[in-house]
Amino acid sequence: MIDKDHFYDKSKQTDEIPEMHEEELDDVHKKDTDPGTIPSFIEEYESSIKNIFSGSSDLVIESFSTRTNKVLVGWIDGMIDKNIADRDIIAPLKSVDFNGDVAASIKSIYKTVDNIPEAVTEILNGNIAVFFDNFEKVFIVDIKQWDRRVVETPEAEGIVRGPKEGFTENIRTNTTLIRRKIKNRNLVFENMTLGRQTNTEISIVYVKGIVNKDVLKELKKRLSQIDTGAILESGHIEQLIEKHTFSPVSEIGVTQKPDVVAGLLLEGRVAILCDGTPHVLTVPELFIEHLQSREDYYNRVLYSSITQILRYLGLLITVMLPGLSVAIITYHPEMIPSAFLSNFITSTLQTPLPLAAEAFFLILMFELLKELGARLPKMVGLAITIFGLLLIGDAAVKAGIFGTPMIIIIALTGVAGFIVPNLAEFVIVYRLIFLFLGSAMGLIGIGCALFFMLVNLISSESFGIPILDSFTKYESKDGVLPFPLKTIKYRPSVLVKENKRRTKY
Amino acid sequence: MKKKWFFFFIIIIITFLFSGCWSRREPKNLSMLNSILYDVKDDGTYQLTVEVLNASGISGAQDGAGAKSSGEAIMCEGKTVAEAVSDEMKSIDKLLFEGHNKARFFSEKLATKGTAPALDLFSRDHSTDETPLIIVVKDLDPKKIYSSMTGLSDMIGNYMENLSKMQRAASSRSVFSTTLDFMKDYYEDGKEPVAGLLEISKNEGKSISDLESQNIAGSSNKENKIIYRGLAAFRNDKLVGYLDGIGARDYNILTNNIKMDIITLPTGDKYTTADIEKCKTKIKTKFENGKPIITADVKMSLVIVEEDANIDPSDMDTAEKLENAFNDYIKFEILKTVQKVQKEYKSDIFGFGSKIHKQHPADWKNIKNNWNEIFSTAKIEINVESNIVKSGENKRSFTLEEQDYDS
Repeated sequence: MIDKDHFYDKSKQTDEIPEMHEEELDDVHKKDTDPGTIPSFIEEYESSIKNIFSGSSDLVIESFSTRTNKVLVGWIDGMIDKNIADRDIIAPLKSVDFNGDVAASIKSIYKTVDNIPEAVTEILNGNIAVFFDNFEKVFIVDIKQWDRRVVETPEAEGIVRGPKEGFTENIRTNTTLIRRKIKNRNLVFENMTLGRQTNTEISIVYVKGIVNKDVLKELKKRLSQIDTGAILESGHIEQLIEKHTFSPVSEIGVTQKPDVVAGLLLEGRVAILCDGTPHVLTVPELFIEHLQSREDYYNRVLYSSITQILRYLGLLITVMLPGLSVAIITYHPEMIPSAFLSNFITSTLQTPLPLAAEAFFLILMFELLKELGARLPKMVGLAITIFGLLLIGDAAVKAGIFGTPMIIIIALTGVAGFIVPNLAEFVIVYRLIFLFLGSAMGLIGIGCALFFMLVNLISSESFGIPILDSFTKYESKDGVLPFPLKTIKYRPSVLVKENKRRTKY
Repeated sequence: MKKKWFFFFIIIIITFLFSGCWSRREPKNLSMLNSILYDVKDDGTYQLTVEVLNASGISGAQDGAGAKSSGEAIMCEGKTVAEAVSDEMKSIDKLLFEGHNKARFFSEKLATKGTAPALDLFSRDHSTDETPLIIVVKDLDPKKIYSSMTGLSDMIGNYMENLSKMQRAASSRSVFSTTLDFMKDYYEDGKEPVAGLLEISKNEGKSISDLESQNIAGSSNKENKIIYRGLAAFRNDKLVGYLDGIGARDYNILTNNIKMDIITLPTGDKYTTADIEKCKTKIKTKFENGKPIITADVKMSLVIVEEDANIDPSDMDTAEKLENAFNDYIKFEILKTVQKVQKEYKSDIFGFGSKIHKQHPADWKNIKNNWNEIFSTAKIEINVESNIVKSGENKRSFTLEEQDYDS
């Protein structure tokens, strides 16, 4: 424990704003709200609450007199619907008909709390608090209303067929979006508050009866162990509950689409909604999810099989192509067709860098441009992208800095990377490992890198479930390639331990 | 934990240091060998001409597409083949890379003297390849191939590869013996190697492209042209003689290598031409009085493609007569070739000996040491059974008289 007296003494001595650590902030909070019970005079309420909020300007405290006694209402400006507050709360209280029966006068649905800290929390959540002189309870009316983004199509997860709606920053909207997909009493939302400064509301979602109980238990355990000040995005939660921080293989899925979440929930997974972000986490995340798209289930099976195979191919290309091509061309030129080799010879004749360095710098430039495209404002972004295109595509070749075949190889690598967007971290790490080992040891190096990669993948697990498990279990018929929906009678056996059957017969 | 990471990094560093990059070859430092010509001078010095990709000679090489590569021939000499190969270093500034060699040409002189030294090098050196074609150049000045027309290909080696791919599919009047095939036949009991035969003639007719533009690899204005037809027969490693296109076809029939070819049957003073659609040959061997008798049963499906002799092959009786005529003609042709090889070359290029080896292993032991002598006097029977399966898509010949059609 921090020595409070020492802390305060110090602040008095220096006469400066004390530097507050999180623990200390907590203590200040505790001290201020220590009285706990409701003071009996309205002036005391006012000073107490103002003190708690340190006189913050967005806190509105209004006191007025009714026919019988004094009333104090408090809310955060901009978070409530003032019209409803006037109509249903303030007007009835101020009316001449008011006879002291508060419960009858408040026209909206309300609840009561009996201590200051709870009242403060409710105010912070966007509710309005009504205090009465000489009354032991505080009335809390939920009339939240603030500016929010409407449901839009997420830009990052484009689809051709399927629902276009995406999650928003408001957790209530998000829960509604999921509830509208799964109209089932077994769909459960469990709320928690995380982050000692931000007090972010999060919600654990699962379908009772289908959910993998071990995963749910493990998730709750890890969430309860979170001890942090700020949860501003679900990415914070992700980092705090994942087990292998330095593994390039992720353990937790992220999506912005309610239909994806609904599909995953019905396969026994758990979703974590976080207030203030449209990105919803799903656990456990199996490797196959990166190579699948929800659209695969909406399209006819032949087409989705072809696209799925393309995704496997895209993954292999984007991870292995630079390393493999450098290894083969510099160590085993016998293996490629003569015309290809002679093209390589003629086009790299004047370039100063060895092939491996060429590949490395081109990958670097590609990543730079990618990052540029994501960060720059749209207007500038286009100009810069065109500049980058000219720079790499034409000028670099004409100036004799890079050879054309390597540019094509890296371009193909980069483009294939967008086929598996969620694997970006995995892809860039292993692409470089393949490139370094391939350029240092040839095909033996490629073999080593492949070995590393497979060992990493095979040993990775997400909340106790090996991520490659779906490649080994066949009864769900939903593994390596999509199956016709008619034939999928079971839920993935990797995850679902009870109620395995999807169909009645 | 820190110790673990430390060891991990040490292992990574050691891996890089020990594996080294010494076998790394940047493509720009390679000089790609496309074909090689082995010749021998009168004093026994081996003379090699290597054709390498001349990348620097290409204008606009940086643009990649549209750049035409061209070859450059470099000559070198040595007392042995290996010495001649290493002599190349005197004038090539890059590492000679043999992985994409397409053709090994042997001059007639060297082939007659014996190809064993060169073959020995191929089989010992790890950097040489077994896929290049072995071709004998029947010309007094074999270097003329490097001033020959190469069609649309840029170099002689590529030209030979493309030519072999085309000919393999469309005609069977030449053989395509890779270095590996040649060495296998050389080592196999009862089979002698053959090689492709290349002749050089003056390029008299200038091509149309030459008149219109000079762009196509500059090949059209070359003074010589290549004729690739027939085969070169070897005994052990030495050249003993040649067979012409028909001879090569008969060789291919007997060794089951027919992909597609035509047979022109003289009927009176006109001709009937048929496509060989299928051809299957079975070779049976037996011994009579200790002497081997070899029987080759050839079964052929023919398709009439051109008929100039006023007969109607769609008529059953006529077809049967035609079939008999084809049988006799093909048998005659094959026997002529076989007898030429038996009497003049005394070399079992058809592999009859290996058939005896397989079918009568005990008897083979007695004759294997002087098999080529026995082969030259062995009795060889040829049975041909041809079958006209189609008479083409039209019902009657254009040359058929009008009244035949009416009646």
